[in-house]
Amino acid sequence: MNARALAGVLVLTLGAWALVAIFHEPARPHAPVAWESSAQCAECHADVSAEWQQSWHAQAWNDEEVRKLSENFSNTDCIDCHAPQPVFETGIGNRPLARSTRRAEGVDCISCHQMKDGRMAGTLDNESVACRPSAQRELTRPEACGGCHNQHGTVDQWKASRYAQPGPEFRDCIACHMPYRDPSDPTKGRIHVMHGGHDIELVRSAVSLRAERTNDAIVVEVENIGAGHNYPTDERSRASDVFWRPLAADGRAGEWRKLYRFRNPYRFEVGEPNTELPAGQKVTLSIEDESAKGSVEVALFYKLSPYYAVPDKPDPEREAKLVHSVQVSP
Amino acid sequence: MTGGLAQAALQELFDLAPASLPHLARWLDEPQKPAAERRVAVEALGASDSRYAAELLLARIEAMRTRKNDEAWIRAHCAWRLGQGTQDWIVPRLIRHLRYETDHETVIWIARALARFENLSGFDALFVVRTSGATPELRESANVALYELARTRGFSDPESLARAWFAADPRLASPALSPARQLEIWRVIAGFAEWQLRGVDDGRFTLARENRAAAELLAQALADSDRYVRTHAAQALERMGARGASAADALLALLDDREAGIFAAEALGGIGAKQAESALISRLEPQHSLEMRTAAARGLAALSLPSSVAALRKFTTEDAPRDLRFATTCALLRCAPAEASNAQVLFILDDYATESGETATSEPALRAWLAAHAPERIADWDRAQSAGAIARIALRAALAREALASSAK
Ligand code: HEC
Ligand code: HEC
Ligand code: HEC
Ligand code: HEC
Ligand code: HEC
Repeated sequence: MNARALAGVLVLTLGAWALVAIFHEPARPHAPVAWESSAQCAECHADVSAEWQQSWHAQAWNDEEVRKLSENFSNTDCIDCHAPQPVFETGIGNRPLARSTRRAEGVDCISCHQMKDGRMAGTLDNESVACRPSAQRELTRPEACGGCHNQHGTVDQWKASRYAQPGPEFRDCIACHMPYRDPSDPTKGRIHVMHGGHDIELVRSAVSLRAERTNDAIVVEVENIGAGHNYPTDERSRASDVFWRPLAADGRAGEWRKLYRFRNPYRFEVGEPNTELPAGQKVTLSIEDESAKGSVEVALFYKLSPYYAVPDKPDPEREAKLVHSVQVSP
Repeated sequence: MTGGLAQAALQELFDLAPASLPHLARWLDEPQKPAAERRVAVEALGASDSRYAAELLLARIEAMRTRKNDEAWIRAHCAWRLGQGTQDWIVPRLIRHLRYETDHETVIWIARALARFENLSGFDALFVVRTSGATPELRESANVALYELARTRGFSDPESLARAWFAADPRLASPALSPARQLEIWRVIAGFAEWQLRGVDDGRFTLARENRAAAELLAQALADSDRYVRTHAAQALERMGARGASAADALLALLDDREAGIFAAEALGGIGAKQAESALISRLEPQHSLEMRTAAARGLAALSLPSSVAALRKFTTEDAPRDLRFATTCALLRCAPAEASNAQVLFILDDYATESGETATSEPALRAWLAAHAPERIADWDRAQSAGAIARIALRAALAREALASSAK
């Protein structure tokens, strides 16, 4: 396209715009609404709302694990992120603070979208609709998630990974956790389900498990191939364990034996190392045991809460979810 | 060597060779050395009773947090020796450590050391060791400590002393804070501005358990330029309860702070500032944000004054925003439990019994109502506590529903 043609096109659009402007009255700005509940958003954003309902953000106040640990939020320290004031109120990247109303809505639309002036952060500007959206790049940044999620180090882990480097491999939080509803049409918006550890399929995509017999041992490799941060990324709640068990010739399996645990211990677990697996990295483990001479099954399990009922006799099949399993022949 | 002579020898050591202190402190970390020698090192550092020596002993106790299976007896010994000295600035540091300490003997000595400076916040830890200490000896020594602390303060039993501590009973001594302790407290307050919550959580925990005099420093912090410092200082005061009472004026002045006002409203309730009643009542009005109105109702609930009832009633009607109506109704149940209608109790009960209930607000309200209407059921209510956060809800909701069914109103 040469410069004149381009000029022509521009002239034409300007002309068309002028006509539109003449025949359509400019939309009048909508009066500010004092939002009392995120249920109000559902009236016009039913699809987003339905997705959010399935998310754990919507459960942040109801979540039984949280309720147990916080004594039903009698420990008010826990309200800060589980029923926060809007993150734009405290500032993107800053720590959110507790709100005193509509706590049952947990991490809701208003928590993430409402700006200090009452407008809703989004991808476009439009003052004429009730929520008065305002284009805010800040909403898409990892720091917007980080006010809550970096207390557990997730954003720092991401920054140290190759996904944070500009270039073809760049993928931010929302690229993985909020994919486009229609990859060919970004204007259709992003899926708000934001799954994590509760979605075992997502967990499976995070890691690979390999096992191979060498001369006197079985060498096991676990690699973080799909998470944009440590595996598992969390402090306190999550853990992922490698177990193995001998398989008899008749197919019967022996007891599970523990080989390794990926976990970032909670602050009260003094002196325990952080063994999470950073993005792109792998650990190599080795099974050297008489009973591993025959057929062996090696398995990786994932736990939403870290402790086994009987610590010395863990039952991963009942108490954890299977991520991957491989068999090694004699 | 014994008594005075040993003391003189140690004194000579510190006067002539202060540089020996860090050397002695290293012994505390050398398990291969004979225990007797290491005890002497603790003794020597303790006898020095200087800021520096106390710091070394304290650091040895705190080292537990970075080590797996740290030797516990040496910590217990350091805590015991710190309790013999005069360095009151160790109080906030010991309180914070108590949050993490796992060795029951050390717990007992820390609680005693705190009490030496008239800080009785180690009491609940002693109660825990008394009932579930690792050995019968430890359970007994916690019990002995509890009675000793009670008797020396003129109380017949530890429970009444504990109540007096929480009520900021004027019979309890409240010594002035040394400049060194004030500095230590200001360090904790400065930490409220940090992004990482670990330090913030520890800080709120620490200051909430400090002596009455610390409330004056927290009151000053309410005027800090950082919203996190103001917010967390208000929260620490709220949790201090009656010991935070001297901060009432500073909290009142914070009520109109757009950022920290809601935390001030709840804190005024927490410290029991009766003089804040009218200010809180005026914050129920519609010209204030819903966040503030709700927080003010929670503050009034904590104050539990019958005189607030008329003002609260205005917002217990169905046309009031739900969060406000819920908070004012809870407050009504606490301020005048005899006056609450069955419909009002049911409204609170229905919220309480769901998985998303505002349990921390409704539970004390329902208890107050039950105590007024069916006092014979209160023992069962209190017993349900041990059923845990989730299971107790069903038990208590059932108790309240039974009482409601048999209530004529
Ligand atoms: C700084 C923000 C923040 C605060 C404060 C906070 N949480 Fe969370 N919490 C999170 C985030 C973010 C997640 C989810 C991501 C993760 O697991 O790392 C989470 C997840 C959890 C989970 C796991 C939920 C599940 O379904 O498995 C539990 C349990 C929990 N929190 C309990 C608490 C308790 C108890 C407190 C108070 C002592 C608390 N949280 C305070 C941010 C916070
Ligand atoms: C009365 C209907 C209505 C309500 C209620 C409403 N919105 Fe909207 N919202 C719209 C419309 C229409 C648009 C699209 C404007 C456009 O395309 O120019 C929009 C756009 C948005 C956008 C920007 C969309 C984009 O693609 O960037 C966000 C974010 C948003 N709304 C959030 C909210 C939230 C959060 C709430 C509740 C607090 C809410 N809205 C309530 C009608 C509504
Ligand atoms: C955890 C934070 C978070 C929560 C909770 C949340 N959103 Fe979003 N929302 C985002 C982010 C991030 C985007 C993506 C912005 C972009 O693509 O530039 C977004 C995008 C949107 C958009 C733009 C169009 C689209 O569908 O992507 C709308 C509209 C929207 N959100 C509405 C809502 C509503 C309504 C709710 C509650 C039901 C809600 N959001 C809850 C973070 C959140
Ligand atoms: C205001 C605080 C806050 C913000 C902002 C926030 N989250 Fe969360 N998020 C939470 C809490 C709290 C939980 C845990 C909820 C629960 O299960 O109790 C959570 C859970 C999650 C989970 C785990 C779900 C699971 O399966 O357990 C994912 C994934 C997640 N958030 C992604 C994001 C992303 C991506 C962003 C940024 C766009 C974001 N969050 C922004 C607070 C927040
Ligand atoms: C390359 C894709 C990718 C990127 C980028 C990414 N994640 Fe994840 N995320 C995953 C996968 C896969 C999992 C499941 C495995 C796990 O828990 O580590 C996960 C899990 C999570 C969880 C669930 C933790 C739990 O305990 O349930 C949270 C929270 C989370 N991510 C937040 C974030 C945030 C915040 C960012 C941006 C800083 C981000 N993620 C970037 C892929 C990604």
